[in-house]
Amino acid sequence: METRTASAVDKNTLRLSALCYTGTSLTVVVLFVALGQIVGGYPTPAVIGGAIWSFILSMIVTMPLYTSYFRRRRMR
Amino acid sequence: MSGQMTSKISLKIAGMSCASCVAHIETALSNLKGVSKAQVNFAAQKAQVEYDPERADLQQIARAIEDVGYEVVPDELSLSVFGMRSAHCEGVVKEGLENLPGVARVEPNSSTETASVWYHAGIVSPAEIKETIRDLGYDVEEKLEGRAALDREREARQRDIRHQGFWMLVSWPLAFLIMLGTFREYWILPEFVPEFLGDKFTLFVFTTPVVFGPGLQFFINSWRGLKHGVTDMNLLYATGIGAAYLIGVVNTFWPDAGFGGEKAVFFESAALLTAFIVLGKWLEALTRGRTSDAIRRLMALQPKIARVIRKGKEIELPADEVLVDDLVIVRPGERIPVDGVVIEGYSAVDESMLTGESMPVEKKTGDQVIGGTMNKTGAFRFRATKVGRETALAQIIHLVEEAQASKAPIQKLADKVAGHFILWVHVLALSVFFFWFFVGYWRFFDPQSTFLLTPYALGEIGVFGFAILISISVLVISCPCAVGMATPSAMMAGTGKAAEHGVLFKGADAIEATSKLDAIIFDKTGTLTKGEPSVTDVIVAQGFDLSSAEGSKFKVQGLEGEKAVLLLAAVAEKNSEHPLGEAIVRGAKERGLEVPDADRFDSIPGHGVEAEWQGRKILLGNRKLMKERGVPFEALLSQAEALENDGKTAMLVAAEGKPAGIIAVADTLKDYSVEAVEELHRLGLEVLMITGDNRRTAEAIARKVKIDRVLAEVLPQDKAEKVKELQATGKRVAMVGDGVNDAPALAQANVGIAIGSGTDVAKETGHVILIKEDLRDVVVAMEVANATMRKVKQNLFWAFSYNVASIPIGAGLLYPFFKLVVSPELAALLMAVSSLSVTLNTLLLKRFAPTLKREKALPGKTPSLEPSFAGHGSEIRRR
Repeated sequence: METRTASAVDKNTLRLSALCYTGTSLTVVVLFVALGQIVGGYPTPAVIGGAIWSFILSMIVTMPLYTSYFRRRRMR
Repeated sequence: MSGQMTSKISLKIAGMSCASCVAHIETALSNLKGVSKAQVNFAAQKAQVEYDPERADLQQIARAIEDVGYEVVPDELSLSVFGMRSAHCEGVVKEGLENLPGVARVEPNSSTETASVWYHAGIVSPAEIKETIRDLGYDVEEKLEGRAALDREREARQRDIRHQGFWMLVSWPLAFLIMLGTFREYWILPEFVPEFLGDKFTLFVFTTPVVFGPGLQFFINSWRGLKHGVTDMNLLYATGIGAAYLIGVVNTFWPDAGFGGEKAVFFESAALLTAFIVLGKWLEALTRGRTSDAIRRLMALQPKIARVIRKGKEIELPADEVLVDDLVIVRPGERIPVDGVVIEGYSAVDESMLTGESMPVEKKTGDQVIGGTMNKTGAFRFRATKVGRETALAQIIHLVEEAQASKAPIQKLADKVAGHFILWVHVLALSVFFFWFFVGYWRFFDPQSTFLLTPYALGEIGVFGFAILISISVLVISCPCAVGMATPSAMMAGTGKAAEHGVLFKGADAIEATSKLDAIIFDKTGTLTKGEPSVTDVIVAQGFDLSSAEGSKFKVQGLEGEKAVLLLAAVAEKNSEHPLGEAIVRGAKERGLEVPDADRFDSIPGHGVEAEWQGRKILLGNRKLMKERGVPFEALLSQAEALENDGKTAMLVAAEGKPAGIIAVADTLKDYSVEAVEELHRLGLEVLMITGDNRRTAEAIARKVKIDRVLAEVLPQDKAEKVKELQATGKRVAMVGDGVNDAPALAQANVGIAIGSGTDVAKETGHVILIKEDLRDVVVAMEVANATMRKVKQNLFWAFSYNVASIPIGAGLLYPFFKLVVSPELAALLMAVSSLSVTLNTLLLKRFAPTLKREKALPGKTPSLEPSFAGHGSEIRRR
């Protein structure tokens, strides 16, 4: 019989939430780049910089939201 | 069974009364899906459960146990969490811990930097809980009590002050040089500032130690929080400083990368941002302890050493080692180590620090002394009655701590706002970035405009630099520190201030409720009045003289008038156990009369008494008695009625069949009843009195005290119902009464005020406890509550106004109209100023003095409310 601790379950939850918040943040980046293309006239470094900044802020916003959501779901 | 995964937990269970309970719980657990084994130990009151965490969890297991009528009892851990200073930090700790398997409940409190954690010992250990808190970026220790807690808290605060002070010394000189370098080309600076200082590589060299020295704490703390899926204010600082620094580095080393070029290095933003945030942290550390000064002062009252007689020898030992019944010696100028009763000696003791009573209190054999109070003039010995946590001082400290740790309803809104704020600020920063990048820059941008506090012409920094700097400013300017600390700081100061005056609020909710009252009901007996009858009037019948040869045959010389009538009544009542009789005997003795025994004494139930003294008859009683015995009392009847209309009980006295006079007995008003009611009227409250007395007596008392409304003939058990009736009319009602006898009414009222608990504060019912039997303290409680709530509202107003006004400005709302936009460093300065203004506003509460005490202190004003102290030639209050 294999014994698994609660922290192993916790790691699964963290992995799942990491997948979600990284995915959402990348979606925001794609949206940013797409908008940049639509509006047009931006130098490439500005678009890259803006994409990085958007990614950082999106990660900060979505990381706690997804993590606590999946933890709550597991507890239920 | 290969592949099945199990977890084991041990749970404490309450409610098991016999061995059959074991079977109940084991069956309930075994029926639960995912539970492979359940073993309950009745003796240890514990259940060991093996379960598959994929199919069952702790909540389901606990519910299964509770469903069959038992309770899963978590252990409690009290922790000091250093650095948890805002509502947001509370959220971080709460969320971080609640995510930990085995943690049942977390109650953090940022105002006291403490957290109570309820956990299941079989699943998680205190060490794991503490480690998680450390991982979140806070120092943690198990909560200490009393002096040790005081020392530890002071030590931690001083360490923080030193720490942030050191970073100030690092960041400010460098930030100043960076600013000079950045502004080098402006004003008269080119004449004084060497050219190399303006070089971008020099600025990089100066900025790097600022960001990775003083600024590093924000990166570390925010990373710790993010690891646990929580965001905090450090993240705001870290993203702001990090972004400004990174853009600076890129534009310094790769000026053609397209982020604004070498003219837009932003190093001064990163450096000044760090310096201002560190300044804010340092100021916060300096002022943080001030709001809890009162509790610190209370704790400092606990003496360290006691002088005790053991085995016939006087020895010195730590005060916490004194035992109940120890004989303790106190000399002049020493603090009393524990509570006790004086058995020998005489002194005056200053109890002001505990009761707010400004005058020293006389102590003689049989009197109680309170630990922590200061012995002034004489030496005495006392027997210890309460030691350790049982002493009045320990109880008061505990109550004040509890009150300071509690939350007022108004705080919940602020906490909710502050708690979710950080996340929304990042959403806003992202939206603002998008807006200025895609829309704002193209529509409103003017290349000649500049940021406030930066030298750059905005044309030089390009679309990305412009949008990201506004985004950073939003992050920094939005910090909700001030909102988070607005309520708890004022509540701490308010409860402390009240405790200084002998008024103990049991919670922040009690302060808020007290500030909203419409009506206040006083219990009559024992609250407005002294609760024991005393002689108020003696009227002598015309022509009666005990000592005159003709008027009397009594062999008592030298007594005439009132004293003679009183003596007769006292002799007749000497052996009576009736409260009115006892009042008469006491009244006679108080007037210096020696009361001899009567030769014969008969009680006539419902009428009075009949006695024989020196062979003569004395009658004392009502009209019916006099009528039956044929005593002609008509001449005194009008006076008797007048006394009765005043709420007094008039008793007729006759000697040898002739009327001698009237003795009036009544429950007398306590000192300051009238003044207290007057002040309550001034505060706009309706004042009521509740009593079981008949309406005439009750109204007579009410007239004297100027009570607005009387609730008479109310049985003790109906008092709570009367409070309820008043509440049903929409009024918020306070009830003032004895904490024990009036407990149901005190509990029913919006605010129950237990008066005169003395030293046994822990046993009292009620939301507010007054240590002294001084009705003026009811006024003090109202005034402190009003002042505290005023401060809370002012703080919240300033804090919310700051955020409401600053966030749009930070987001560039003014730019389209005035071409003005806030730089990140100015945003940091504004943020620090907002927190500081809230703290300083709270500290103004320290100057608060209750009206009655302020009036007393006015020069030239007669201290009309102060009791007069006669007899000792010194200002010592007799108890």
